[in-house]
Amino acid sequence: MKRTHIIGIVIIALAIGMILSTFADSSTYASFNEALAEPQKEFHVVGELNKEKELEYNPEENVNRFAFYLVDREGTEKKVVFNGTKPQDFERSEQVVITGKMKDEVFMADKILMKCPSKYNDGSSEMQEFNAGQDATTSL
Amino acid sequence: MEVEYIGEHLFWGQAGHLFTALSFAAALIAAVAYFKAFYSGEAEKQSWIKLGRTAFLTHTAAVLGIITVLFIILFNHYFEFQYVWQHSNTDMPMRYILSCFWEGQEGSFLLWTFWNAILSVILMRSARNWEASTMAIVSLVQVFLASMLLGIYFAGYKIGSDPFILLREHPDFMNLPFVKSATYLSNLDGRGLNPLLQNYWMTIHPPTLFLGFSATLFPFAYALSGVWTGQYREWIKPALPWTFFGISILGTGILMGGAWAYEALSFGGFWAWDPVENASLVPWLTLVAGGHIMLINKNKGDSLVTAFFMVFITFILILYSTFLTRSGVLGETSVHAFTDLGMSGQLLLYLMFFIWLPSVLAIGSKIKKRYWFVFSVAFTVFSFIFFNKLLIAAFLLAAVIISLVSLNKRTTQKGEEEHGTSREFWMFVGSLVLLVSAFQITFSTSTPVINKMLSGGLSSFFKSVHEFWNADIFAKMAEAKLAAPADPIGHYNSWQLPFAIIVALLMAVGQFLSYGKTSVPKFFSRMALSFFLAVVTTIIAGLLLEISSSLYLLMMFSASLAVFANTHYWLRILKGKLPKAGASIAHVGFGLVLVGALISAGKKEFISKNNTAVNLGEDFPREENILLSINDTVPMGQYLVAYRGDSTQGIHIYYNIDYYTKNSDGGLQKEFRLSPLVQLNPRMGNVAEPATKHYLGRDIFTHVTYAPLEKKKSSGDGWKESNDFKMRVGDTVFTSNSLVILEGINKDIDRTQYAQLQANDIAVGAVLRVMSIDGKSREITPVYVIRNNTVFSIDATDQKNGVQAGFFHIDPSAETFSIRLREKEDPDKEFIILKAIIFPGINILWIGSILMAIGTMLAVFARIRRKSKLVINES
Repeated sequence: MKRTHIIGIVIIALAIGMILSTFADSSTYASFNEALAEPQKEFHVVGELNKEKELEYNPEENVNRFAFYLVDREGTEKKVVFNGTKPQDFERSEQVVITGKMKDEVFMADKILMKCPSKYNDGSSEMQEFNAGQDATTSL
Repeated sequence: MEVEYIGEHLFWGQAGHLFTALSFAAALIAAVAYFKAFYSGEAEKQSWIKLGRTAFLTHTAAVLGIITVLFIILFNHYFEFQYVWQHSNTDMPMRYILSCFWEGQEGSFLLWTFWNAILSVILMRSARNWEASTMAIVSLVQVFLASMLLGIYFAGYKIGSDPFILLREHPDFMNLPFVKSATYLSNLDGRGLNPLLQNYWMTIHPPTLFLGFSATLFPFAYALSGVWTGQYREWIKPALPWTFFGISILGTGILMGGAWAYEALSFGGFWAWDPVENASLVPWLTLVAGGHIMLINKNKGDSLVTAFFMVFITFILILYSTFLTRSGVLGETSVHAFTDLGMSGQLLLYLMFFIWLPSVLAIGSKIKKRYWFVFSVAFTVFSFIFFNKLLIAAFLLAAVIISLVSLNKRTTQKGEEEHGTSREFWMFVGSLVLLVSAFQITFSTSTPVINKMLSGGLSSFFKSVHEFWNADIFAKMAEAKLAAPADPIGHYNSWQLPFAIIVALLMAVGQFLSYGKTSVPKFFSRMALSFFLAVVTTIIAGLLLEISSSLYLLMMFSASLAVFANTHYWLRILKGKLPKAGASIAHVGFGLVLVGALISAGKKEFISKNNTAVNLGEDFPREENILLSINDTVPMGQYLVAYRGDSTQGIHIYYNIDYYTKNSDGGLQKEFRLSPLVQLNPRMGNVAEPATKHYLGRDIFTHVTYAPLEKKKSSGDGWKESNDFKMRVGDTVFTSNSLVILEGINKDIDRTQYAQLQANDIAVGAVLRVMSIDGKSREITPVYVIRNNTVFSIDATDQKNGVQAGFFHIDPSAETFSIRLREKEDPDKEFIILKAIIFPGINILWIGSILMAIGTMLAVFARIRRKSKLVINES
């Protein structure tokens, strides 16, 4: 067998491995109910903050615990606990994407991506991302 | 009814539109003229070329005109223009006007067009007999780019987005009441610039990055000309300096983006595998691979098809990354993608065109070429009517395969294989590793595109596969709701770290291998010293930094081997001469970048650990933030840290944080002060910006993650506003730091305690027990007084717990007593929440970046010099 053929086979094998790993590692957009069905898996949940309910944040007690209520796109409301500080201006968010797992009736989030409406009615909005964990900010 | 608007500067809008139209038309004329020049005989050729040159210079002048007008309206705050209103305001520092210019999509397209035009003028003057073909291709690209600014509607499709549109004519605003007033300009201010972009890095990072983007066009134009003219190898020599120029500038631009993220953004690091970062890294990787393959071909004559492929794919990836970041398709996955301007269809069309273009030029037979052309046109019309993503993907794949197969047929291949010890073989392997690495990043970044593909018909296919073979992967494919990896950094690093190790090893040995065949003993004797030094460095670094992961140790070894071997090559074999040192210096630089990235990211340390926090269990084992009350001294790593209050300058609130170390005699010695800030911005929300103390060996990064910006409401006398409670005996109410219990009603109070009481007063006391959180309790008795016909309360105060109570009403039928409570304000409650990280060795990374830029630029100069020497020899 020629050396080029071996290289070609190795590259194809690598490419297949990469494609599979992308699918395997990728998280999924889901609703709270879907996340509840598979509590061991990480999900992305898109929803809106329930502004009627209280945002729990007591930095004097614990800096890294922020809790709020989110209504997902199916209309299910769940309490979300975020392992991090309260993002500035969180009250103003219009859409929130959280990443994490469901534990009992509470969603444990380790990442928040929020979209804030701009002050003017031009349909655009700004995104901001907040990470909890060390892993999420380690870089290379 | 026509409104006479007051104070508008319509002239500049008209000038802008004129230049935009001119730049488009002139580019079109230049493309046609150069195309004609390419196909005409010697006699007519010169006049077509002359027309092409004139048209292209006109285009360049028009682009400069657009830029000038845009600057004039930005500089003068003409808010009647939507672009000015959207991206600037009056209280923004003028030095950020450049950032306003390219904050929007239109401005950034303009920047790209500008660099293309400037570089094309250089190409025009240096291309000689390549001029007609390369300039035709470049002009065509400019036609596409110039159309991005047209802002006209054609058959229901929007073509381009006009930067000179008036606010009152913009579809989003034209129906708002305020633009109907003739004097709407008199008190209009702009929305202002995103605070994240008000940073000096944002004034230099985008132009550098776009210059790098531009540079990739020229190898592409040369390679395509090579196919077009049938000069399959000759294009490589003139294209090489452009390629290395692109590697240098694009690489610098990407690293500047990293520096910006590190200095001004809060994510704590210089690289986070964000989709937008990835989109600019990937073409750089393929360009580096392409440059090396071109060198192989220039020296040995093989790997020609791969060279074409790398150069084509680089330019296509630049277009693809533009599509990803500007079409809004990334939407929920990235923080800094542009918002959609409704141009995704147009961007997709351009992308498709330039994927397709090489195929039609590459086909050898005239008849087949004609068939493919007709089929392609028919297909495009068809897909406009019946839009199907899968068919389009299949068509593009077919175009790529046709290009490669035809090129393979038309270029002659050398019979024998490269020797296993040859430089060209290992350079080829290294380039393939870069390509594979680029593929991995692209594929994982493209999950939103993959979702669209899957939902376009494949999803039901995978559903049936899943029924047949119950694997999780097929369920995910069928659902087509892929999100970014839950742990993106882990995902990318698991692939990219091994690739980086291999690339660094090849970088180390590359120059010690000879073209053709290498003498093995000589190779090992030359490598021995570097090998020894790298082993020693790895052992020392491993022990000092406590690196335990074997992959990290391997990375450390191969990157330091690359540094030592290339230094050795430069000093001993090139005798330290500069002109030929480009490759060595660039490789040393890249090795240092890898070492610096490994140390600073792998060994970064969060010193802001909140040791007192409640353990949240295994789900949240990580703690990074610490609460600092004002003037408390808190140990953080090797430092003692105190928060000394804030100071406000304009819209910036600076939080002053002092770092101390312990003296030998136990006292505190101040080391430095850092003042991270929060910028108040009503439009974007408040944005925090870190502050970093730089030392030679490490940085201390400090970032305010939370600060109570709204001071609590106060009535002005040191007490908060009161709250009234209707209580029964035995009831408890809570204040913020104590509980208050109504223990009983005392009708026979000790009157000597209350000096205000008169003999005829009726006085009833409410016995309240105030219990603080730490368990201490006190009793206070406010008194309800009836004197003649008036009722009032004698308040009682518990200074210790900061509670004041009044007793102002009795409801005998319901047996409730109205108690008014006030709490003392606590001036010592000012606090911030801080994140502090130590990055060791990050300077190695920056030094490496600079060396890489210098090395690649040296390579450019070396190529230009060789080229001009060649020209002199020829003449």
